[in-house]
Order: sequence, then structure tokens, then C-alpha cells
Amino acid sequence: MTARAVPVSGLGCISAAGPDLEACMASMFRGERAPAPPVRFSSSHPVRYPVFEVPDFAEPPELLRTAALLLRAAGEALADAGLDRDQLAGLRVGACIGTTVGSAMNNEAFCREFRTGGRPAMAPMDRILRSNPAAALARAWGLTGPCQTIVNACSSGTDAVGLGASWIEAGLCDLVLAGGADELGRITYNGFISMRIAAPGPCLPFDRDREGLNLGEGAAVLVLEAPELLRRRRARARAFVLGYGSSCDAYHNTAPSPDGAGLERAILEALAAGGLDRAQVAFVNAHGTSTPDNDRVEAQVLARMLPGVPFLSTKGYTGHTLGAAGAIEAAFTVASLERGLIPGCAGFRSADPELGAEPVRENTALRGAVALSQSLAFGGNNAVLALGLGERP
Amino acid sequence: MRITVQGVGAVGGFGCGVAALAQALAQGGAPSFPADPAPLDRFVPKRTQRRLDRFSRLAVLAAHLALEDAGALGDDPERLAVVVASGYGATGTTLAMIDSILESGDACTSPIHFAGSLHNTPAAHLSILLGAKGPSLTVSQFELSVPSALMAAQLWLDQGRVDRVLFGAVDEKSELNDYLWERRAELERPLGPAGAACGEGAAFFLLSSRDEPASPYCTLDAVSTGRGPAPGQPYPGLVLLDGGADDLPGRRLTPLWGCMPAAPAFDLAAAAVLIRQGAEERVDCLARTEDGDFGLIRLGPCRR
Repeated sequence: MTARAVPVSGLGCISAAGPDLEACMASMFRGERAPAPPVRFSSSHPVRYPVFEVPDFAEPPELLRTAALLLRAAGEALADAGLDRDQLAGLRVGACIGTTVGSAMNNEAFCREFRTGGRPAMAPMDRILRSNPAAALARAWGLTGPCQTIVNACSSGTDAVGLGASWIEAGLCDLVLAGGADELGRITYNGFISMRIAAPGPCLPFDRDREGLNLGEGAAVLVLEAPELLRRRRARARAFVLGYGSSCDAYHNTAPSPDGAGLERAILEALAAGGLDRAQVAFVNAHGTSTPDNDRVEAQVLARMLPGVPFLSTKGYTGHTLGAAGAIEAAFTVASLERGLIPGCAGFRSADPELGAEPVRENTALRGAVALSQSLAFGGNNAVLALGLGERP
Repeated sequence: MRITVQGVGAVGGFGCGVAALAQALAQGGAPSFPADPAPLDRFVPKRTQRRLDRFSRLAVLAAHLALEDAGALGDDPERLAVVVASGYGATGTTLAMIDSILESGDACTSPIHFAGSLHNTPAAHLSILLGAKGPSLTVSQFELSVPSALMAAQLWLDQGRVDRVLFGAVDEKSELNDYLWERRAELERPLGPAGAACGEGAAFFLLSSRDEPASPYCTLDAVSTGRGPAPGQPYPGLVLLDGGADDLPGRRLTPLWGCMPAAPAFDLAAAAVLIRQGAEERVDCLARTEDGDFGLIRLGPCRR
């Protein structure tokens, strides 16, 4: 642990893999996954592209599903940290949340009526304006600290945890609820299919025959806590945010730089920020979307920088949850470090010789107490968290 | 850590550039829309501009104006971060994407409009055009997008992650925003002060923690956001107000550029100009929401 380490005192997560973090981990270690055509919305595409929807979850009418998923994950994380509303009241608590859908003014029914000459009611847009994820979280829990919704596309969740940790380091907050949330919807579904990066079958991260991603939805929240407060509460750190690095490829809006230099830069920054040596890394929770470009670049960087270090993508269990992905995967990373075990990379069957590395096929025991969780995004963003195992209960 | 504002670039209903902004400040007058991104031709080839929608063009133009103003066009971008704020994002492109679905069906969704509808597209274009490979961040916190994003820029400079940040904000006056504006006014829940116009434009800044050779506009002394009373009162100098009601004495400059979530960035530009002119020594820019959230940006004079 370095002086910069920021304690993580609580975790919460909801995804297609499970309604809470424990359920997600258990289903992943059992190797379960169930991508299927969307149920909550229809599409006229001739191919029924599979997705990972969160089952048995209904949002209240006044909120976007994204915000509702976030509130569910935040409730779990705060309970896990042993914090209730009364305890939060006297503290400087910030909210730093990543999203893509949760801040977009894109209600299809509203726009349809608008385009056909109608005067659509404002309710759908008012709901969007009420559902800015960080603001909705702050309102729900009466938080009075800084509030920031990060819209860095698919690295948003990782960036939010990294930025949230920097608020603790800088002394701006006693606590930060940091994470990400995103929902599945028709527009996103159509958009990714139009870009020809959605797979017609279950996704196959890092596999030779990978054809693209499956979209997913969900949310995760990490309770980041100032060390002084943690000591005062006699609470324990489940993990530490040891470092954060980010960069931009400055190459293409929707494709990663083939040389992986941007990702390499972000990994090096995260390691340096934590005073970490590459040999300390027990595993990497990779972005692993299952698109040909992403997985090639990412695997080649890992082969070059961290040869022999086990890695996996958990998107075979959750789908690509966009702005939530980095936070969900950070939560999975911590839970895996605690167990000393990572799940097999669901969907991976055949090694791709072009990649130079392959993910773990089966549940794999870990050696070490540090892991990386990384995200790549449209816009050329790369973001990496270095996470360390916390104190044993 | 001393953070200075080295360059300012702005385009909006008042015109293009710091001189136009200063003239609007001095003479007043109503903004004229749409804002004109045509001066981007000076910085970016037309062929490259074809990849940029109107929203990105406004941002990219203001960013280049800020770099030019700082004498930093062409500087090594190695330790430069790009931080962008937007309240509503590229609503024109978002509507165009939905049009493609409505007109031709799900299978004909426009991939170009889908990619362009993401909030971080202007930041991506800027990084590509400038070769900036440092951190890139886009924040959308509706009316408080500007102070929230600026807080990240300040933090990164304080931490020494980078030593320059190209920071700015952009919002556009699309058909969709116009309709929202009009309907909310009819429903007596206006998105801005009574009688104010829906605005658009972009304002960018080159912030630096270096000992720069050029004379800066001012120092960025503090940025804070949260809920409840804004800290630091009473304020020693001019207060520029934006957003929800506040009983503090101060000036509202929004009528000069129109109401939009990016408006606090124009207040910030005005504050920088007023301090550089010597018209004010200190300026506090305070934005508030109806929910009681605040964003406070404090600027002071440069004393070497």
C-alpha cells in the first residue's frame, strides 16, 4: 500500500450476471451466462442480436432506468460499507458517476411526435433532466459534496472511480460514491448494430472467431473513503485504489490505435501512481469487448507489457455495459482479489495467433494482491485502475 | 499550485473571438443566432471538417482560438489534457440519428450520427487534431457542467498529472433545444430567466501551471461544487451569476450570449477579460440550480 492508496469500504453491483455483487460472482464462477434477444424493446432488424438484460428489475416512472440501476447498486454499496443516511448527513460526500445513455437527450417517442408535427409532452425530457446519474444519486441520498457525471463513452466508469479517488486524495471529500450506470435501449442497440460491431451470437472475447460485442446493462458503485474516516468508524477497507491512469489515442473516433500506445501509457501511469512494479500484478480484468479491433490491440499490449499475467474479460457474463462497464469490472476485480480466484473468460474457445496472448479458460487461482482493471472507449480514451487487496475481515 | 488562464477563445451569438466578446461586454446588445463556426477554416482544412458536426465545429473553433490567443498553436501537446463540458451534448446529431431510424427503419440507423451523438466526440476530435495523447475528459452535469469539469482540470494541474489543460464548454441551439426551451417557457417552468434567449456557442481556455512566457489573463484560484450555500461569502469583487435564483448582488451576463448549460464558461471568459483589462481585480462566477446546487469559480489577478 502506498501513501496515495484510497480505501474502498463498500461495493455494490447489478448486472445480467446477478442482482448484487455476490450473486454476480457466484454465477460467473459457475460459468453461467444467458445472452438473448432483447425482451424490453422490439427491433425490426432481421437478425435478433443477443443482449444481456437485467431481469426482474423495473424502474420507477420518474427516473430513467440508468439512474434506477445506479440507485440499486449504491444502496448495496453503502450497506456493505455499514453506512446509513444519518451517518452520511454530517460528511462531505461526493458522487462521481460514469454513463453514456444516462445523460443523452434521446427519447425516441418524443422525437417521433416532434418530427411528425406534434407538440410532445415534456414528461420524457423532464425525466432525462431529473436522471443525470450523479445528480440523481446525490438527491436520493442527500449528498452535499461535488457531483460529476462523466461521459467518456465506454471508459466512463473507470474514469469515474479514478477521479473519485483523486477527490479523496485531494481532501475534497470524506466519502465518494464512485461508479457507473447504463441501460439497454433501442437507440443504443440500433447504433451498435449499425456500426457493425455487434455480434449475431454470444460474444467471444479474445477468441479467434470473435465477431463483435453483445450489449448489456447494469451499474456498480464503490464507496471510496478517506483513511481518517475509515479509522474513526473502525471500518475496514475491502480494497484500495492504488493508481489511475488515462490517455487518449488521438488516432480515430471509433477505432483503437493499432499500436496500443495509448493503452500502454495509461497502464504505465496507473502503475507509477501506485508505486507498483509490473511483477506485482496478479491479473488484468481486460476491456475485452469481443470486437476484432479492441481485442487484438488489448491482447497485444498485455502480451508486450505483462507477459504471463493472467487476464480475462467478464463481458462474456454481463455484455458490454458501456459507461457502467469500468465500474462493474472494478467491483469484480476487487471481489476476485478477495477470493484469490478469477472466473474463466466466458466465450473464449480458440486462441487467435495474431493476439500473442490468450485469456484464462477456467476459474484460475491468483498469486498476488494487486490487479488492473482497464477500459478502452470511443474517442480513443484509455483508462486503467490499479486495485489492491484490502484488509481481511 | 498557481494556475493561470493563458488563452481565451469563444464563439457565440455575439461573434467570434475575444475581441467580439469584449465588445459585447462593453456595448451590450442581443446575440444573433446561429453562431457561425466558419472561421474554423483558418485552423482546420475543409476536408477534415466534413467529419465534424456543428456541435464539434463550435468546440474545435473555440479551442483553436484559445490556443492562438495564448500563442500556443503548434506547441508540443505531450503534457496537455483536454477537458470538455456540455449540458445537453450534440442534440442536433442525436435528432438526426433518430430521424434515420424514423424515416428508414432500425436497420438504417446512421452509424456516423450514432458515433457523433456521443458527448465526448468534440474532445476526441480535439485530441486527434492536436495530437494530444494525455488525459481526455468530458463531463455532463447539465447547468453545473462547467464548474464540475473545471474542478477536474484544476485537480489534474494541482496533482502534476499534466501542466496544461485545454478546457472548455459547448452547447448548441438545435431544433430540439429550441422546442424544449419554448415548451418549458409555456409551462412556466423556464430553462432560463424570463425573456432570455436559448443560446449556443463554445468557450475554451488554455490553463497552465507552468511558468509561461506570455502574460496571462488571471489566476484560477478555486473551483468548488456542492449543495447548499456557496462558500467564501461575502465575495470581495464582482460576482457573475448564472442559473437559478440567488439573492446575491451581482451581474447576469447571460443576455449577451443566451441561456445554455455552457453559459458559465462565457461568464468565465468575461471574467478573464475584465481582470486583464484592469476593470476588475477579482471575479467570482456563481452558478446555481433550482435544486440548490452550486458551482463557484474564483478568479484573481496575476502577480508574478
